[in-house]
Amino acid sequence: MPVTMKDEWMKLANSPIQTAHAARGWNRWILAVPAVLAVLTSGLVGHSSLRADEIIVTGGRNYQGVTISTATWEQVEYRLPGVSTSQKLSSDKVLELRFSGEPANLSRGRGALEQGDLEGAVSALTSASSQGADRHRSNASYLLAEALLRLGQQDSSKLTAAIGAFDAFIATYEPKKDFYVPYARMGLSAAYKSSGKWSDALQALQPLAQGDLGNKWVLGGTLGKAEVLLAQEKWTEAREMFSSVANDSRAGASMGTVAWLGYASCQLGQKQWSSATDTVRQKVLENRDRNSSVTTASRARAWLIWGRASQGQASGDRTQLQWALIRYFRAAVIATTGNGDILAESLFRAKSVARELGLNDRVEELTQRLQKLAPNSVWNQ
Amino acid sequence: MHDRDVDARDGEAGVELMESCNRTGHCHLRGIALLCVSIGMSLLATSGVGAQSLGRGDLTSEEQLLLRELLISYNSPDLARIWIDSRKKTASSSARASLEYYLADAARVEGDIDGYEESIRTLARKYPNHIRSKGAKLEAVLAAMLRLTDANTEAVFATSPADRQGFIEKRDRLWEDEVRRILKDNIRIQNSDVDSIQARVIAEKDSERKGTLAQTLVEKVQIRDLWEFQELSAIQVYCGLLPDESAAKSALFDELALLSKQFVDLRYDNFARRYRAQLIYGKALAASGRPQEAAAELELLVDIEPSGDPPYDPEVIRFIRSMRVESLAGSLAAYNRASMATEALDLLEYLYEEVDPNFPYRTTPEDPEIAPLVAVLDVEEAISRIAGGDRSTGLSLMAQLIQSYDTVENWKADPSSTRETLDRLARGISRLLEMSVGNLTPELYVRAAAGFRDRGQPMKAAEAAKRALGCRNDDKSSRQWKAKALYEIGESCDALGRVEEAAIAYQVLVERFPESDVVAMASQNFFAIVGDLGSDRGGAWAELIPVAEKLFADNSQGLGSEQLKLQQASEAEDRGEYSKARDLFRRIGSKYDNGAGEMTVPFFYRARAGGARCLFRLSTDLEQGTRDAAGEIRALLGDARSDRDVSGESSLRYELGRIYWSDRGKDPSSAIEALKPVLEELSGSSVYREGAILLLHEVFCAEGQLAEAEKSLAEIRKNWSTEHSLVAGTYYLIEACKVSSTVENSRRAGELVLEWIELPGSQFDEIAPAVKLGLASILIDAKFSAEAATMLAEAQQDAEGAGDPVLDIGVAYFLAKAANAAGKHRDALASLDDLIDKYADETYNGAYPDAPFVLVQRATANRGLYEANRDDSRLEMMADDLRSALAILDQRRQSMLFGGEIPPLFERDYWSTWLQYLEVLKARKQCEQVIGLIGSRRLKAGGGTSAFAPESLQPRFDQLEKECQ
Repeated sequence: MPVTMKDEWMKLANSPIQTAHAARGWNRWILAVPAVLAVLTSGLVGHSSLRADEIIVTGGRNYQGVTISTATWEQVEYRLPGVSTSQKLSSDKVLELRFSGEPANLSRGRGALEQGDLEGAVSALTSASSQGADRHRSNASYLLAEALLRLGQQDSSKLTAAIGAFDAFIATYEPKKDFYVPYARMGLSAAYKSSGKWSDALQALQPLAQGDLGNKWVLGGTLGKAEVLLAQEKWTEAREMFSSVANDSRAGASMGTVAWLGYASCQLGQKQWSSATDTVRQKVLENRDRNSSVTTASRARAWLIWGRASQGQASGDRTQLQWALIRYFRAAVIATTGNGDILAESLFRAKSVARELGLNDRVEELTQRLQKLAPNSVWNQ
Repeated sequence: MHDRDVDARDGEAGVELMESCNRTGHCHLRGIALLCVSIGMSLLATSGVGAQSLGRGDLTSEEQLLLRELLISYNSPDLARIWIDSRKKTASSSARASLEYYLADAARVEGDIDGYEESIRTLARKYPNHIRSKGAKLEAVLAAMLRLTDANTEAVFATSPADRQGFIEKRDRLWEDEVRRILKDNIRIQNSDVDSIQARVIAEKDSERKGTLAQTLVEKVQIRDLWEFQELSAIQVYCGLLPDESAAKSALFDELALLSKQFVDLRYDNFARRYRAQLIYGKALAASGRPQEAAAELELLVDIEPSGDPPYDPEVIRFIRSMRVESLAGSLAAYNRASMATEALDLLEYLYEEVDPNFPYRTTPEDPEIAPLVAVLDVEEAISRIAGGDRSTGLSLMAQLIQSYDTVENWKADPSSTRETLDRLARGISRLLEMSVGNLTPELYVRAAAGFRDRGQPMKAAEAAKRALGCRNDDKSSRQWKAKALYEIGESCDALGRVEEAAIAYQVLVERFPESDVVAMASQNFFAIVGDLGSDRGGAWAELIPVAEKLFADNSQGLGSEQLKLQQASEAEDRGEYSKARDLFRRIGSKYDNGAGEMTVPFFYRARAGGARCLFRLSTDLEQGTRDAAGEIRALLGDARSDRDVSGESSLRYELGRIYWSDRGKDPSSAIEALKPVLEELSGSSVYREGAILLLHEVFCAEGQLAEAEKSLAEIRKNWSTEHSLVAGTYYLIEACKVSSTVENSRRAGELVLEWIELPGSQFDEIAPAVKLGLASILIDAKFSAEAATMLAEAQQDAEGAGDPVLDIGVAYFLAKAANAAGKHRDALASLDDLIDKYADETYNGAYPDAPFVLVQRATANRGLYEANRDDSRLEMMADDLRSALAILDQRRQSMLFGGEIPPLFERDYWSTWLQYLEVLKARKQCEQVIGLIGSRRLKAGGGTSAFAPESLQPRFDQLEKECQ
């Protein structure tokens, strides 16, 4: 029997969706059916609904498919699938916590931060910081403060907001020993440092230096102090402090690398080009015993330092300038928009070398790229 | 299957094809077949039945179905052609036309769009009443769409910005000139026709004529609707090719929303097309930034069902299901793009809970035609879940999807469909990144990067790939994906024209992930780019070349890398860098892994021969170098023979021969010993055997081993009659025969000249007159008088007006030589007297090459006349001329002696002149002088009875001496 258009259209017009749509509007109708999500994720749709968190640790043997119960700066408590008793892991070893389920705003804010969309991150995380479970609120609040700090590093007028956000987070979550409190203290110090408030920056690190937040963070406090000294261009004092962390066997892979990069930056400040190169080569780039997830960002910074050293030594030598350009490009090739400043600085410095080499097309292209990828960076101003 | 159902479905097939091209960047052949056959089917409105057979007369529906399967399902245009050829013998005239259209379709299935289009045009003229002829214009438009998508694919994969821009311009030009304008013009014409007929129907009073006109109107309306629908489809496809952020895309989507809405509201004739238009409308709204409206419009299609009673035809079920899947995917996508993932989850919730938990009727395994659409739906669902907060379910769904589609079995069974599905998946994942979802696995970032690149956004692709590098996961799988991320960065940078960064990305990959699957390709790319940059810019880039070479050598795999090594080695050798070249030659292995197992490297022995050649070149001690290089080659000869590698053994023997027969020294017997097995023990027509036999032939000729040379030339003639080796080989033998002074060999030289000038490679017609004169000389010596005269006439003609005295002299000289050879000594003498008078100084001073031989030739003329009348004055003239000739030749010979080598041909001419001179002296009874002159020559050669002249002439000197004594 032929199917006519009229038949089909009538059928369409009488469909449940059409009816619901016409009567109350789809969105209003669906809002009247709450808590369907829970049903949906119970396996009804035929997809796996297993919730699985992940704990990323130093050394690469991550904990996948677990359920994180609590996370403090002392320890992370989790359960293995099918096991009712909790396991504990020292927070000193933990690099990152990933949760399988988190509110959309928190997830979006985290993603925006990862890709350098700071305004988007602030917007999403502001909403997320007041929604959902306490754990989600704490994560969102910490990430919000981080996003504000990075915005503030581009526009100093935002630093006050960042300081306020870190203070608020610490005030709320320090008593609960939240996992991110030590990170927040480092962030607070960085925010004061960016504001030029050196004593406040050091003050923020005090609890870390005292060992209130665990052994790992004593060295963290020292590292923070060294960064403050570096920002003040006190090369010798900063260098000594970086050295003390870098050479401390208790410093983890990540902290050690950061300390060596700070050390090399001091050497750059002292125009010790060859020494800076040796430091980044021996301690970062050619050191295989590092956690790669840390070293990817650190590597970019190391190449940047090496590039600067090459440029500093070049004195107009074309080959040396080409090497500097290559090293800046090596940084740019791996630095993400999430590592905005490293990427922006790499592109900026590559541009300056390209100009010196007379590569005018490249200068133009790098200018456009800088504008597109890091429009608000200080390196684009 | 009902007629209308087929009509409905086939009318949309072109759209599916265009969409698939758009999404994947690859128009797979199956899709092309689907397009062409579907257009044919839609115009023919064929009904199908369930079997096939070869028949007579008109084509039956089952025969049409068979053809469709041959072209689409089995993707076998050759089989279709065979069937068509058989069927044409018994076909009616209309069936013959249809079969010829199918032949055109076969061309299209093979990717020959131009050929297809040309055939369609021809057939439309040949069979104006055939139903497909009426749709020929529309088929031309669709062909243009295919060309357009091809251009876009080229743009996506172009590795230089200039190329990319060129392809993009081509794509846009095709769109404007061959699609958009044609569609618009035809739709206007169609609407005008419809209006006109409609007016006539209304005005017509006669009911019978009114009925006929009404029928015509229905047909016109159908065609108009088809054109309008194709316009919607074309815009949708073209929009999909434009970059997401382009203003043109946004404007076109607005227009598409408007047109599709009008179509849905006004064109009722074909329900399937109307559903499709509704789908297009919803998608256009979503793309225009109106997600809620889009979702509402698309939801109208989500649970459509066929009317009528079951059982339903599978085609109808498939169509309905595809509509449901596509519209649901569209709704989810609209919500996702608007950052309303929770709304999308709510919709899914409702459908699964209220309508059917299995909605929209997933099946396992999926119908291959629906599978890509289901994959898109699943991707959108996964996106909704991840972005909506249900991260683990979403990621799990995504993982399941990848796991089920990206399998070795799928790639083997249907690579194009698998690619299409995975490309859709990648594009979907790239959307996830645009929604600010982070904290993903390296794999998802890399797939997203591929999706961005597929969407024509290489910059975003590079940034997405970088995020994979930032992941803290460092397990084996993550490292593989991080390596792929760097490869993706390299490819994207290349597409953006940032070759330096592309090179660096490849370098980072090779240095940090040497265990990766893509390390071989990356090291090759790094090597290739740095090689170019190093030679273009020098400095640091040149300093990087050794690094690239090392990485390349350490990591290269597969035949490609071996070829690259061979190429690099040859380049290094050309630059005289023998040590580097030798190293590269020797790095080429005898086997390579093609992924399925070990394969023989076809140029292994050639590479080793090259290595030995470089060793020979490197050596300063010739003897030691010869021993070492020959030793290396000899050690491989047995292996090459047992491998039955004729090319390999020929290459080795050629190089061995070259070592013994080179500019550094010549050892003919060793060279012959090395090369002879190629002639006698190997067979075949490989280029390497050709080279070795030609070298052997050259040695035979140089050594005067004419009988052997004849054999080698015969082998060359047998296997390479059209190659240049025959030209060269024949020439070598001509020279060899010419050097020999025997009458037989002179004759043979002439024969060979006559053969040589007939060879296409000799380009005799284009050769210089001087060469023709040389050949004519050989022909004269060989007593081919007529041929010599013809050649001289040609040379004379070519030389006329050239104003070259050397040519002028040459022509006169050879004409005289020919006259002498023909016994016309007086003519020869007159001509030579004129010549010598005209160029007296030049002749006696030996200022031109043939000067001494002009004098010799005049002596020959005088000798001929002397023999006729015994006039002693002739002897005196002869003696004068020969003495003058010898003075010039002596001078030249001295110069040659200083140069180190006297060509055998010159030596023959020199001693032959001496012989003539001495014979004249003897005739003039000056025997003492003859004996003295011969004695002094013997003294120079070592005294006693030492031979001084070439072997062929020495006995005559000995005889003369004896006679004079």
